[in-house]
Amino acid sequence: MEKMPVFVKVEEYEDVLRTVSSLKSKIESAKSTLLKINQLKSEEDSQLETWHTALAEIEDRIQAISQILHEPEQF
Amino acid sequence: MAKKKDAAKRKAAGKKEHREERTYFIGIDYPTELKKLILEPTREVVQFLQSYEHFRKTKEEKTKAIKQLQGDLVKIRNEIARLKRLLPPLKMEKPAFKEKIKEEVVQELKVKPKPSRPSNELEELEKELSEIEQRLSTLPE
Repeated sequence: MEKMPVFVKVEEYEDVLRTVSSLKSKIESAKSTLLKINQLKSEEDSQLETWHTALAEIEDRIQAISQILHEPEQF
Repeated sequence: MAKKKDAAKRKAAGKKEHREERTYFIGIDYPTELKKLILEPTREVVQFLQSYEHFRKTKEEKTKAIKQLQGDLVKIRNEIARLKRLLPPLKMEKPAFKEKIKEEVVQELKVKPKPSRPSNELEELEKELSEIEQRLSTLPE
């Protein structure tokens, strides 16, 4: 197929440029929102990891308590 | 009557003494360590609950951001549609083999009719996407 030239009315051409500019700004906004989501997700992941570690520590301590309680003082 | 009450009191006191006799105590080794071991998890659980509040706020913020992104994408889609309206339509010839493939697909669909489902937003988006892909495939390289 041959490459056909495309003509746009001058007033519409200005509108096209405005739309393209608006699109660019909206894409920038979406990019920054996506970046924010990514940061928040990282925060969540880090928090979950902290909880995981804390829970493992609590489990260890309860295990130690259990061990002490199951081995009473010998007379 | 008074005698009966005295007898009952003596019986109760006897039972109490009997119970006290049966109370045993077990010596715990390392009492300080034990107390420490009990206090530390308590502190950690309190910290856990404190950080949960922060986590909840982060989650809320994330949900808000996701909604904002969805709104941004809808706006982008609308702007693209506007751009499409502003630009003159391109009339293109569809390649013959594509028509043939389409006919085959239509025939296959006729053989295996899919059960109709209520259309929702996701289906509409899928339809729009396939239409765009079809248009893109007809464009010259």
